[in-house]
Amino acid sequence: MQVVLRTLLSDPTAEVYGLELGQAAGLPSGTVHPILARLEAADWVTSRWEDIDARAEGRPRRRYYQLSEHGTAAARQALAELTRRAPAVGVLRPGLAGGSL
Amino acid sequence: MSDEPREVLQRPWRAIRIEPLTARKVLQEVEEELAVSRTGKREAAWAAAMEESTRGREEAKERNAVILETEESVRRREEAARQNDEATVTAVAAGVATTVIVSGDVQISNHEHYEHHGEQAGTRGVLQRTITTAMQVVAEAAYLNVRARRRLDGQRPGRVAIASASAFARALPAEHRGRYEEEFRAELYDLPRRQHVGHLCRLGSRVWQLWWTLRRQQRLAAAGGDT
Repeated sequence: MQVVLRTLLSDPTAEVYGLELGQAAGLPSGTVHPILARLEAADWVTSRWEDIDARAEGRPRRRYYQLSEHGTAAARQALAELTRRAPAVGVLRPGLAGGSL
Repeated sequence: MSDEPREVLQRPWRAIRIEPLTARKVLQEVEEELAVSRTGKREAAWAAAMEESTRGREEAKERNAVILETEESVRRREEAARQNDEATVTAVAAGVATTVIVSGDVQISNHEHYEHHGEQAGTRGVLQRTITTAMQVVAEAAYLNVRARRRLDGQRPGRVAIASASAFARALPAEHRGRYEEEFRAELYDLPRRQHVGHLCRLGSRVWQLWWTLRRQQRLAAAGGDT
């Protein structure tokens, strides 16, 4: 989820399709769709069909995703919060933070 | 490589139905033009043409004009195609087709005249230039179309891949099937064929996560609606 949000936040106005987003985030196929579904349900992300004539183009339409205004602010806040909490996690569970147990 | 243009060159020929005998001659000339154009030996060809007859220099200039004109037309058409400017693509194609048909008719009706009065090379040269240009533009356009189609065919997913993507989508809740089926299928078109198997395996192994997410949203929505 964090990786997807960071990738989307790298250019919040950009519209990306699932495969493109997965490749940009370095995630394997099929990973981004559940995440995008959750983000869309939370109104953090909006989606629309590519505006093409599928018959003329000879391929199906892509589904483009974009961070909503609310989503951009919320994602930034959530990631900042995670970054702030990270040191605390390191103290409580040093193994998770890369330290010795 | 030598077979490809030949096959392509026959396409506009059959489409416009010019009399076969004349067409073969024109086709041969177009092939020569294309060969000269592609090998980059125009100067050598012009020099050879100049040696062939006293009119060689003029013919060489005409050939040069033909090639430049053709390249410009093909470039314009390519540019328009890149910008999805269908109007220009159609206009160029229509203009070329008209030229081919008109000049083809003239060529047919005057064919014998040219055979017996070859010395009237001035008129012949102009007409041949028109025909050659038109044929070459059509041939180049057809060649580009074939290349583009082959590129597309190279990425077009096979029936098994499409069926697999559709099957994964059918495993999802009914109201989401159509959307994800199109989305999954579209992804296949953005990947080279050699990556389809791996992509589908990964997609299939994770489709349950999407199913679970969508079902959970449905339940939450239903619970929210009940309260």
